[in-house]
Amino acid sequence: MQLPRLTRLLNNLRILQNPPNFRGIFAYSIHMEKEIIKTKLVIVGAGPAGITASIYAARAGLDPVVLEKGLVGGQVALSSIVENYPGYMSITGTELSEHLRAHAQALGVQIDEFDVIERAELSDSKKRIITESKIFEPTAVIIATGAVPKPLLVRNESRFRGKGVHYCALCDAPAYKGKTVGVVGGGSAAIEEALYLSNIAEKVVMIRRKSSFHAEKAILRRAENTPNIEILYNTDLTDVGGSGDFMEYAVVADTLTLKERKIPLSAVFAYIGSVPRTELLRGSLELDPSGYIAADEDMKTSVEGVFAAGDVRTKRYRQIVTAVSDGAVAALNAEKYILQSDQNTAG
Amino acid sequence: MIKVFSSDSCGYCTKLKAYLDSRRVKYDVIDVTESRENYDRLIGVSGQTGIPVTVFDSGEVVIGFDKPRIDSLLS
Repeated sequence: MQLPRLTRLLNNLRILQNPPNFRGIFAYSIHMEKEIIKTKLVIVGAGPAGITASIYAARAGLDPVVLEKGLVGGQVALSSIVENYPGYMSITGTELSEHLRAHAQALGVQIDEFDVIERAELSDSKKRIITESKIFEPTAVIIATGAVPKPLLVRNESRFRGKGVHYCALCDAPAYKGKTVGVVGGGSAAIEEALYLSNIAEKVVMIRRKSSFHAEKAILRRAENTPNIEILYNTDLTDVGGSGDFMEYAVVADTLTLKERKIPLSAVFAYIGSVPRTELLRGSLELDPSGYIAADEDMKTSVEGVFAAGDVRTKRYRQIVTAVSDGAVAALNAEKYILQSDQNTAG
Repeated sequence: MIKVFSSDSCGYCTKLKAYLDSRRVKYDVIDVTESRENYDRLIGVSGQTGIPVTVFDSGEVVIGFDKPRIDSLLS
């Protein structure tokens, strides 16, 4: 190792001596100072919103850094097939995610997939994103961490995810044309999706744990009057199964008698809510009661210079195209903010 | 040698392998979609069917891309 580099490394090390513990044994630990990186823009999340924001930001010369602890592509990467994204009649989620990654990286976007954010300190005057190994001090931040569907919490859920267990009928329903599918949930979203599926599947079985829905009455009436929708009240989904790679049946239990039975279903679509990935932001940004970031149509949050894009934002429709749109708007407004901030600093 | 049970179509398997590569860790890949025997081996070591699964030389088994646990076992 070259001497200057070694000197720098030693300067960056602090040897901490812990108080003596057992029988006079001293424990030592080494704490490495984190590298501080001052940059124009940090984008948190590499789903469609985050990647689109990074593409726009890179083209604007902002040299964005993208941090992603999950998968590049976000929920897209977990989808078997995407058939509603313009330009692609049909593409696998894996392929689309790789296209997103390749597009961003071709423009020089740095995507860090392994450094995990420990906390975010966001205020009008200063932004700090602290990861395991670095401290980013950007002028602007775009939060595009997305949301994850609430899991069904049945034993074989992960095994059949994307192969019978789905969270987006609009995305994945066409694969079940002419088949019998289930919908789990008790709100308007579940019923809307059941109605949507009833136009594609041969039959839709709604699995409802309670004896009623907490949905709009008009939409419930429509579902009740749809010949190929069957509603199972007081019925709980307890498992899904199949002899091969794909789901073939659901196990349901009568919540009154607790008696279980198998019903043949090619898929179940879960609409029991979603969980925004905002756990790191509580206390920093205004969130709605469900935990989504309150941001307007300009993607501006309650903190100046912090923008929110995609599924993490309070919004009605969570689609890949709406996430992409959010990402573009967030990047364009972040660019304006950074320019203004630079001018203020220079002036 | 560390063993990684995975498949080509699994996003977190790809991420796990990329992470091990970034740490310059050598490992054997067992593609569970290649044969029933590989699937049975996965179930035998982890007691479940989800992937990725990493099996360390010490016998420790990590299900999923659990970076803190992998880091801890690698150190």
